Formats: sequence, structure tokens, C-alpha cells
Amino acid sequence: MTISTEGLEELNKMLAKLGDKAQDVASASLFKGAGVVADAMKGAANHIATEPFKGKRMYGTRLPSPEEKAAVEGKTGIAKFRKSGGAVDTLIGVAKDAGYVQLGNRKAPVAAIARSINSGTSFMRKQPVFRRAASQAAPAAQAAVVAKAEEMFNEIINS
Amino acid sequence: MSATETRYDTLVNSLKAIQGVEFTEYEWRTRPNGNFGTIQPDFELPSDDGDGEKQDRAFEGSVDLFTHGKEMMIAAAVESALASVCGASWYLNSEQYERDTGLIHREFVFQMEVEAG
Repeated sequence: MTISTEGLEELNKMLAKLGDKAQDVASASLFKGAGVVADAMKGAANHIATEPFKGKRMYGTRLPSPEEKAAVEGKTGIAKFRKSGGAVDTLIGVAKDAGYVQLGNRKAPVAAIARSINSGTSFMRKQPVFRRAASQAAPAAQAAVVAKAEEMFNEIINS
Repeated sequence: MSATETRYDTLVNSLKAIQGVEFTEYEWRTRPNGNFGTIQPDFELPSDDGDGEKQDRAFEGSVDLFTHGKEMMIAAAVESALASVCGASWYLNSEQYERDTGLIHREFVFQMEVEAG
């Protein structure tokens, strides 16, 4: 991204203005980008293939049940934004503390189900829907971040 | 490497040649009594467009290794196969222990360009 100015004095003033607002710009533009990835992930969770649960089997692999899919889909989203030093970061997907879901007579942690679907296990076929969403949405998210930051910087400079 | 053999084929062949583990392509089948693994191309990555055509097409794939016990030598052999074929464009995405089966599951992710011809 480019911001143009003329003269050292103007540059100095501009940098002083930007310095105060840099944190806000970072948060707001990251929020835009995170939204793009979160939308992609929610769309991806919708496309998880399922099959009805037929009980635990000793051999062979299965797909997640519709109940497991619904639990994962409901818990997919953006984590709280965390500020550490000058940096802002967040996590998108299913949080570790997403809680449990009641499946028949057993309780299962939602994060573990999401992980089983995304990475696969010896009993569940892998469907890397979250990794796919993150990889494929990356260029769009980057573009959204840059566009938002540029817009805000120009606003600050011209104010 | 012959002219018709792609880099993906080279990767598959060098993984299948590893001793002490059975690698298959596309399959997802449990073998309770041995080490096993699967190789699969997962999806196509976004590419830049130019002249109405896609440029620099690439795909992302994964190698899943299930072992009983630590089996560091098998994991090291998988890593060196990935390093020699994919260069730097691979990483260990996850490592998890399955309490029910006692298996250790390592998931390697690699990215590869689609070769022309």
C-alpha cells in the first residue's frame, strides 16, 4: 500500500498523527480481514459430509454424524481480539473452550470433534474444510486488510 | 525422474518406499496392527489470473502418518522425503495422540505447483 506526501516537515507531521492511531488502524483492518476468513469458515463448515452414527465400530472409518456437524457449525466464529504490546491478534475457527455437546448418552467436546473432522483420525475420514477455507480465503482477506488500512490512513492524514 | 513422472508421483513413490510403514493414496482405512499412512491432494489453491487464464496453479495436499509408539525414524524419513521433493513448502500441521487406539497421528501439509504437460 502507498501513502504519498511532499516535504520532510509534512512527513514528520503525518508520522506523528499516524503514530497515535496505529493501534486503532491495526485492530479495525484486522477485524475486516478476520471477517472474510470467518465467513469462509462458516461456509466451509456447512459443506462437511455426514452420515448417521451407527455406534462405535472396531474397524473401518466413518464420517461425522449430522449432530456433530451441527455442533461444530454452531461454534465456528472469531475469538476475542487480544492486544499484546503493539500487536493485535485473533483466532478464527472453533475455540478450545467451545464446550461440550450431548450425543445420545455421551458428551463430546466440540473442539475435539472439529479437530477430528479437520485432521482426521484412525476412525474418522479427514475433511480439511477449515484448512481449505483459511488457505483459499487468504488473498481476499489480505486485500480487505490493506484496503481498510489504506482508507483509515488517508482519513487520518487528511483530517 | 522420468519425463512423464510428476513431482507428486515422486513424492508418493518415495513415501511408499519407506520401511516399516504402509502408505496408500486417497484411502482412509484403519490397520490396527501396524503403522500406516495416507497421501492425498486436498484442494487447489487460489491463483493469480492473467490473459483469461489461471497462472501459477498449485494445490495443497497432506500426508497423514499413524504409528504405534514413537517411531521417530519413520517420521524422519517422511520429513526427508517431503524436504527433497517439496523443498521448503511443507510443514507439520498437527501431532496428536489417540488414547483409544494408542496411535500417534502426525499430519504433514505440503504445497505443490501443477506442472505443465
